[in-house]
Amino acid sequence: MMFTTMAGGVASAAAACVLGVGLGACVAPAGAAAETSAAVRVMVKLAHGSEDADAIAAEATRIAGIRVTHAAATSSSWHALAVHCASAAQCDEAIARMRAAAAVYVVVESEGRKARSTS
Amino acid sequence: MRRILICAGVAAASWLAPIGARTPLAQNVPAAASPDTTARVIVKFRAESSLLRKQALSAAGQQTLQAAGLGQRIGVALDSGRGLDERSHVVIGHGLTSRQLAARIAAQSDVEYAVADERKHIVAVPNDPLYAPTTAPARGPAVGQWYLKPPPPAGSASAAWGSTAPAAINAEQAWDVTQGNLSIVVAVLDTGVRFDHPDLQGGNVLPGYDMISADSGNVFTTANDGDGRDSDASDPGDFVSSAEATASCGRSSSSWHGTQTLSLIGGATHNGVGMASVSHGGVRVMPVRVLGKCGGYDSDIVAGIRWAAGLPVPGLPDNPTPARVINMSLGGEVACEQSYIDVLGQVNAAGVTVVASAGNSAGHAVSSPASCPGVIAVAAVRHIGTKVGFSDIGPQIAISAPGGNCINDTGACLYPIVAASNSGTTTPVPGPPGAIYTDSFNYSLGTSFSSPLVAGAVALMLSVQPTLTPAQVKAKLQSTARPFPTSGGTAGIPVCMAATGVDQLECYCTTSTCGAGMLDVAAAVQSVNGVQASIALTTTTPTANQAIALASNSALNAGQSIVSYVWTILNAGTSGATITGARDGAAVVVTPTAAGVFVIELATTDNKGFFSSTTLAVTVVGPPVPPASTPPAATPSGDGGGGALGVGWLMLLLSAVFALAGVSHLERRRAARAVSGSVRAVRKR
Repeated sequence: MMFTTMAGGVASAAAACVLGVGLGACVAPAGAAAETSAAVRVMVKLAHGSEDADAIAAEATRIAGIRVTHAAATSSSWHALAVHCASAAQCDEAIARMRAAAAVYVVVESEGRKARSTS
Repeated sequence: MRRILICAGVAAASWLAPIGARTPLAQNVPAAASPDTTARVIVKFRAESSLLRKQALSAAGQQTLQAAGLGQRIGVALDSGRGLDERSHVVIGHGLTSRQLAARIAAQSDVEYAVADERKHIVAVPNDPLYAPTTAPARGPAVGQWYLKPPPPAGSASAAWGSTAPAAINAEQAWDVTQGNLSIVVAVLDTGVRFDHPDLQGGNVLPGYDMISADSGNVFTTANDGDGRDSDASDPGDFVSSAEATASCGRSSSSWHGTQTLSLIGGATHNGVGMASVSHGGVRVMPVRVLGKCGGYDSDIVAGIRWAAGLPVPGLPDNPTPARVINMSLGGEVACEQSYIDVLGQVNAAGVTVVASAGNSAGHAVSSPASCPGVIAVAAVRHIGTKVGFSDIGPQIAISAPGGNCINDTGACLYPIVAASNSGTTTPVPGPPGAIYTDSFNYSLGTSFSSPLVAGAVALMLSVQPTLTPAQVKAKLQSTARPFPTSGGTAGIPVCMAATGVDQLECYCTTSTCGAGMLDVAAAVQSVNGVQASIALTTTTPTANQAIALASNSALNAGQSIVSYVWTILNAGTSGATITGARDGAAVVVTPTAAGVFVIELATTDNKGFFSSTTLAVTVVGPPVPPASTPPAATPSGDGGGGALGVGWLMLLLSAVFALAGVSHLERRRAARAVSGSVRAVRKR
């Protein structure tokens, strides 16, 4: 099993997102719906590939212990999920539970954003 | 089409010779003159030459005699070619090059001059108005599209550079070899494109795809087009209003960044409009929209990489025109993520070359995805070849290319990169008023523009040699890159150092900070424009004392053929391998006498005179071991021994153990002798 080494990355991003000061891990940039202000996006690599977004979200919700929605698929293995948490601590705990589910997730890493490379 | 004939000054084969260092890959160099080489020389005799004595012959007859007489003197049979005037005509010889023949003839005292009668090459200088130098009050750069032109001679004074500069990428000369191949598709993962721009009307812009999904539910703030992933890759604008701005994503006008980067790679060229592109508009370009307001999500970028390469993405139609090259002028300030590592490995395996910009943090570490394995990371250099202030650097950088630099703090930017754009500050402005270009007064700078120059170069390389793998492309780009300057920069600038978290502005590039050198498109294209030697091992399990079949699997372009094969065992090792039979055919048979590794070389020459060689290391296993119930039977082997536990096997095993243990070569030989002796001793018992 391979796990990302960004153990603190998701939590930090989550905290930033929950505090409303960062875009990186939030499900929407500022100005988006208020309900998204307390959600963190993660990329997960499934141990067993699937394209069933609803089933992936349901299983993630069960494992995380809080609501998780499917954000986007990149392949049958890799999916972006939005973890809807009320606080940074809750985000950390939820994501830690997902990371612990090694039989389900090979990798759980923070989903970041990229920007154009103009100065 | 306006074309200018220039005197190339060298023979066709020589002109096409690669520039720069050799690589471990197949090497590609012009072959030496062979007996069927034809030499053509223009010779002008001095007025007093005895060979000009009038004979009662026609002009052609006299020239035939002159050629014959001249040939007798220099020991080469010469035919007479076209006459130029009373004292000048072409002579033709065989078995040496035109230059060699010219040198011999020129040594004759009654010859005024003798020069090789060379092929002239058509240099396609595009008629796009922004390509040429412009003068005030035009907004275009005074040096035009300086970065696409041949660089000035090394060491020349800056006053003589004209509309070029040392960091220019020499695309113009590459266009003599190829102006692209429409079978090559370059995907541009960016903000989408303005399809209505007049310089994108060359018929080579594919529809592409909009990969930006919802931020959440029905919120499409990033996408800014009211919907999620769909087939409309047009750029609606990525402006960020005051209300949308945050600490990490400030208010900004729309960038039209995807239109800019795509136009650099594949904008219509020689159409009398606007600008020229690296590929001369001869490859297809495909926008894949992954960036919107405040950039884009990793999941959309990774999905875009997959879709561009022709790999399936759940819920989306397959890409009908998979790309061979992906350009990503984007990045984030983190190390390479596992999701990128995975997808880049997959697309590389599918033969897709990925090019990405280093980032613009002023000399800090390279950002992802440029920092990822399997990516050709591109840093930016100033017009003189020093690192431009904004560019990031590091050991992941493969090569550098211009990213634009202004020199002036105010007024016209002197060395900008020209790109197609739109005048809209929020939504696009349609029609002619909206279609603009970045120029000396409306400029964009960044590694965003260095990366497309390399991606376009890769597309041209693949246009002449579609079989190149991503690793070969990278190696050829690097081996043909021109060295960085070590002087001539702004006074007092340092040598670039490894990124430490402190800004590094202009500095002298090194190969550990800015890659192998400065991009030279012509050299890169020329390096792959010929036979590419490759060996296929057709025997599944090479075994001692059995014939091993190898065959040429060399790549050729249309109209090319291999005229010569030479197979050579470079190192037989312990295998005792020798070539059995002919060594000059398309295939060869090698018979080893023991286990071990042998290295074989294939050298090929094509009908254009290009030479290419490659090597292959073949591991030979020992003869099959008889079943344990069978009494040991002595079998011959290369060292005179044999038996149930072959010496060759033991030697191979020992070599592997030593290799793992890091045992020195001398120690290995000593131990091998000991084992060999002990095995023989066992047999004697």
